[in-house]
Amino acid sequence: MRVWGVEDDRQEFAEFYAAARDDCLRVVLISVGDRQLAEDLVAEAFTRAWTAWRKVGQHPAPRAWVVRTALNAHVSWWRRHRRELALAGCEERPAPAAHPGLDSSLVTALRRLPVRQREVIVLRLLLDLDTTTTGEILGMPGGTVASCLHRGLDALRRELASLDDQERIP
Amino acid sequence: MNDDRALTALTDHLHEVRDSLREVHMTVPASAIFAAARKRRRRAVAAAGAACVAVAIALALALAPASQPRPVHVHLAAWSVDTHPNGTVTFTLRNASQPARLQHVLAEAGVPAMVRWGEVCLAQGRHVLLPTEGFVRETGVRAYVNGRRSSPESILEMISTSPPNTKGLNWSWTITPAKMPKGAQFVISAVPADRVAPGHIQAVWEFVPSSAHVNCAKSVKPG
Repeated sequence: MRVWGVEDDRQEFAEFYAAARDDCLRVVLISVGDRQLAEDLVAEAFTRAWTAWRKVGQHPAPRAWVVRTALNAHVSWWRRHRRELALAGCEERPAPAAHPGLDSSLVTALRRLPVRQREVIVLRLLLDLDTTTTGEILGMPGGTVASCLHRGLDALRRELASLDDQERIP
Repeated sequence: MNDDRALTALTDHLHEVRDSLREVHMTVPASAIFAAARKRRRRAVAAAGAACVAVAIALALALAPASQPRPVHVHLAAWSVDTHPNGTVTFTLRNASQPARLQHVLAEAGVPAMVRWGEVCLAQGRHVLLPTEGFVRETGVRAYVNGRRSSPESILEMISTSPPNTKGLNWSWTITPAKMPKGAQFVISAVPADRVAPGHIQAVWEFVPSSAHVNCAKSVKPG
């Protein structure tokens, strides 16, 4: 009988990391805009994934788990950062400049979406998950995923149009 | 249908953006992920151990019969600690020696403390500091309350018995443990006068939450 040991887990995780890290980084980068921050968040999420690998390894879409964890960590980072700045009596730090080649309007518009809609867009369109898996991960029925995606895209389109208008104002 | 076409175009745009990032790669090797996780596990184990110890101590204290803190009068050549009937504790420092014993004696006198000699310790981040802190440079004494230069009186009364330009350690503090904020500890650290670089801190004392992370270094400039 073969005993599944730590070394096997380690090997399995290392293979997952090698295969998934770049995709996860790109998706998180589109959502946060800042390359270094995205890399830190993804590394943190993979660290948590390895810490809970017995569970994450059984997840229907481990990449989605990593991306969601990274984006949730970003929310925590942003809140903590804002609080520290407030305590220091400084002005709120402006959003970091977008990674070169990345559409900064898209990053800003995505950031302004409600969390659920943003998550559905990230999982369905950027990670190419199907409706059923997305629903399983987010704990919602397939119909809700579809309507959330539609509403999210619509809101994203409006946000982009509004940002476009603002840029045109001299 | 125009609406659907716009959404399809947006979906295509998202895919294009994602695909345009093909040259973006993670630079963190898998070994760094494993190392970070190992460090985190060690910290979690240490925290769990500390929590168990804290629970055990709390239980022991809760079950122990209530008693008055016993008087403390410890006089060494290097330092002395005395409790007084009015509830105050006087701590005099002449020479940086026997830090572990000093820490223990201060705790017995009702002042939870962290004592470090040969290095300067500062709690990380001003937001974790409780109202009173102070530091001494080789050229004089400065005390801060709420970040402003002041004479701290409510929690700690500091009496400098050395002229400002004296290089030796010869200070005494009167502390009122009952006025210490709950969960606070007195952190005091100092380096010998002959090892203080010009403009660097010789000694620091602060009241900080016992959970605060404290950084220690051989030589620290006032920040």
